[in-house]
Amino acid sequence: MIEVQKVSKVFDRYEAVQEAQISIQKGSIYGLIGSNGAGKTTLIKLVAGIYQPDLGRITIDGQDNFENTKVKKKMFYIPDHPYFLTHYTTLQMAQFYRSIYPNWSQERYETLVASFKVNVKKKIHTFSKGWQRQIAFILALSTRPEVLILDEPLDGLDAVVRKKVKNLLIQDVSEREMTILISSHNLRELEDICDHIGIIHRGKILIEKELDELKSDIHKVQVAYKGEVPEHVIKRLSVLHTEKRGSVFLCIVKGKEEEISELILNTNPVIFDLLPLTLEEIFIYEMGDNGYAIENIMVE
Amino acid sequence: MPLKTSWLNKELILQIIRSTSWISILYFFGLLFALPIRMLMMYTAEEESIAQYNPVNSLFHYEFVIQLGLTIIIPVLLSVFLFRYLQVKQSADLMHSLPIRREKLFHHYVLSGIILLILPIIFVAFIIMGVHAAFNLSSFFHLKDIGYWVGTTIVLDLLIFSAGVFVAMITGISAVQGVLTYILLLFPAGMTVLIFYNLQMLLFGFPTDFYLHRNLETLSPLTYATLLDGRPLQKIDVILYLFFTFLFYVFSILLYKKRKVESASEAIAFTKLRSIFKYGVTFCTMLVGGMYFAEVQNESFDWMIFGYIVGSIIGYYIANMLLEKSWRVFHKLKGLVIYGVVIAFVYIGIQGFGFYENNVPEQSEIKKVYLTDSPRMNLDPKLYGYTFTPDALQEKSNIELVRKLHQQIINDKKINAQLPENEFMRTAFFLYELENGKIVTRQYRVDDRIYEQLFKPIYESTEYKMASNEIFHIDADEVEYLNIIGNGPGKWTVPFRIEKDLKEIIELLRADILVESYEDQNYYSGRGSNIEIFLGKDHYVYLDFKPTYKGLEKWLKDRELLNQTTIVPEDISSIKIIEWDSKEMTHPDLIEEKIENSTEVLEIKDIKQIKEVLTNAGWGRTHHYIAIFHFKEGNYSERLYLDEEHAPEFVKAFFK
Repeated sequence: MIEVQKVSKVFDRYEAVQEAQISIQKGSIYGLIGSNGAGKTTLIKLVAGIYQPDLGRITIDGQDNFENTKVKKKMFYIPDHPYFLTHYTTLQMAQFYRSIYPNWSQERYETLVASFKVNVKKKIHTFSKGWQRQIAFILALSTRPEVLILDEPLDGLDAVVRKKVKNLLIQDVSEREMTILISSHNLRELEDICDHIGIIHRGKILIEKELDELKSDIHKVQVAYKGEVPEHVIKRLSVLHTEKRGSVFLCIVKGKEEEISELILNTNPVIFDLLPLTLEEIFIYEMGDNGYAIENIMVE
Repeated sequence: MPLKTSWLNKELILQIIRSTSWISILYFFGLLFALPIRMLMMYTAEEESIAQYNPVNSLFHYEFVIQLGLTIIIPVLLSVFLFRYLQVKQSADLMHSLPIRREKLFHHYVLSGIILLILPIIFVAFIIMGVHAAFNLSSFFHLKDIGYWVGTTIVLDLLIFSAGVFVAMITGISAVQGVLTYILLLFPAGMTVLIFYNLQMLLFGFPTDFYLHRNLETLSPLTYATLLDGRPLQKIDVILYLFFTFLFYVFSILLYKKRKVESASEAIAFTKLRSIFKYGVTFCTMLVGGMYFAEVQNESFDWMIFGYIVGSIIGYYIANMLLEKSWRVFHKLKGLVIYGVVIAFVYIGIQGFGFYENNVPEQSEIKKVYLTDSPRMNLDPKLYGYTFTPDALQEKSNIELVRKLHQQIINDKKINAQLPENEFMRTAFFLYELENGKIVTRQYRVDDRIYEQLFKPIYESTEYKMASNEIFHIDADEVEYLNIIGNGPGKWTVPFRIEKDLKEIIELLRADILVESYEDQNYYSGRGSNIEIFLGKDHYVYLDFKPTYKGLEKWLKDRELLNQTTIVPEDISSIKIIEWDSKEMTHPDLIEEKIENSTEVLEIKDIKQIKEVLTNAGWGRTHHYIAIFHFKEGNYSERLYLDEEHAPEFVKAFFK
């Protein structure tokens, strides 16, 4: 379990992360979404124990992560641009990590290398960006980390490999209860693997949600009446947003599906539709004013 | 399950070796060519050509320039490449995401570095030992010389390397690391020179040379290294250098623990150090600017101030550009203005309202005083060879005279500060030892002619003559030989080795010097024959054999040696004299030209007149007539001068 408690990080010229607060359950895949410069990478490096927070605390299973080898042995971090020791081959990198991470699994490494068909004796920097990223994944998963920290990991991978990598991640999560912190500037990219989403904007965490809960809790309602709109009923609903299109009201409503249906059907509407929202829409409405500000990062 | 954790990580060491061992290999080959191979080249030639080689002082003798270059460059290069991982953002992230604590990383890198640095030296030392044994080089150097070479090289390398490591912790840019390391290493020596030089400009009488000649080279390992082929590394310096190596090591770890990974690619990694860096650079460039303009513009005070201002501005903006990594820093004026105000106050503080400049110790306070024309006193003979240090003056009357001279120089501050350098300028160095144990030192450049009347009574006093002429400080028993060196065609060098002769000559010289006037000291110095006294191992005493040394002259004449050692009238066929009333030194070609074109030339052939001119001519700086002596033997002539006072009557009469 990762706890980021009111963490701030100031660089010389600006405050990159402000009082960020997230918590990641063991075995969950946590997606951190934000536009470029929002503070994703900084927050990720803080969790990875590379940066030291100026304020606040980051604990992993109750222990501070910074300069704590005991914690870091169970973690692996893949940066946004995979980086390897200069002129190292995959094999040399593997030996290097094997000497450092006690959970290294040679068997896993060999299986992965075989399945990705990597030439382990070739210097890594001669591979293409996409291949380098795959090698980074192979090495990371071979250390059998309890916590895997990935900064924009799917960038530059083609659809097939992307699928393969996602499957591998999900497999480790389900088999070993691995926890993943994964960042992206694109919500859609993570929609299918994350169970939790946090949105970071200008250094602040705007919202943190469990996806299943979100999807079942928020609805788009289209309703039309012949005469007066029964305001008192509408007021009893938790409405995030209303719009009038002709005689049709369009509302975004929070709450359980059955309760909303029951309430509205009792007012005898002419038209009544209850629709699910896309993830993007949910976030935009949830965040109110901020939602519009960051709309572009969702629908890229 | 307990994990087997070893302190050493083989893979990490392997990584270090993979990325930096090329430097070690380079070092090895550099040393290999500079020492063993060079030795083979020298000592495996023909027997006769080997005979020309003397035993060496130390192994630094072999290709010293290459050795020096390696010692200066290799350790810094190694520290830069080792800690490259700190300065490149991506590798800094990678290395610090690993479950390895910083101390462990640090020790792995530094200790591997030390081994990579030392191994080539050790290997080469073994090869030298092999060469030494195989070619029997004992007549050139011994095994203990190899030990000294290994030890000295390692001590210096380690200090320079650890300084590089220390700077690596402070900066986030590899290039800056290299440059700052050299600055740091030169800093103590460079700063001392800069500050003393500037104080000399700001404070009339500040004895810069007195402070600067004292082991200045040892203040920086780099300047020390440049002297290694000549003088041995001293024990105290070894201890000092090892101590600093240790200090750099400890401070490096402490800084590393506090360092932020994100400071990779920042010029200065610690925010708090940035102002120190900024104003430090400003201060240094200010001093350099002042020194440069003062030096180029003949110690002009106004130009020095100009240099201060220009230097400060340049330094301030360069430092800002480095820190901000941008050209656009010119709007930052506030820091510069505050700096200027602070410096103005410091300047007023240094001037101290004239207290320093006007201070001449009271007569009653003074125990003794040294007055010399060089502040190089009491030098360590081990480092500089033998140098003579005069005795102090203790007679009340002399102390009073020195004080009077000193006070007059201070009173003439404005004149003295503006005088351009010329042949009459001399250094007047005062060192007072006070009754309370304190020492007051001052140094001035003064024009002889202005202070002649004040110097004269001091220089003519017996106490001063005995204190400052080395001839009064030597013992005839210790003299190995004494040469009287003749100068001119048909003259010889006459050596004396018999103790009785030596005793007599020294006694006569002492007596002659004691009666010599101040004017004659100056007027006759530099002409004629010389006396050289050798006291063993680099210790010589040189004197002019002046025509006023009547005692010695008679002694030589009695032994019929005078004609061999000095020019006598019989050697000379004629003398041509012209009037030449110039205050300054004159180029010989101009004089020749003048004689050829002049209608007013006095030519003397009479032996009596020749004798009179010969005994009265000097190499003096004040001259009225030029006398060209033509010798009978060979096509040889010599030029001497006559001033108004020494000119014989018939000369004066001719030019009237």
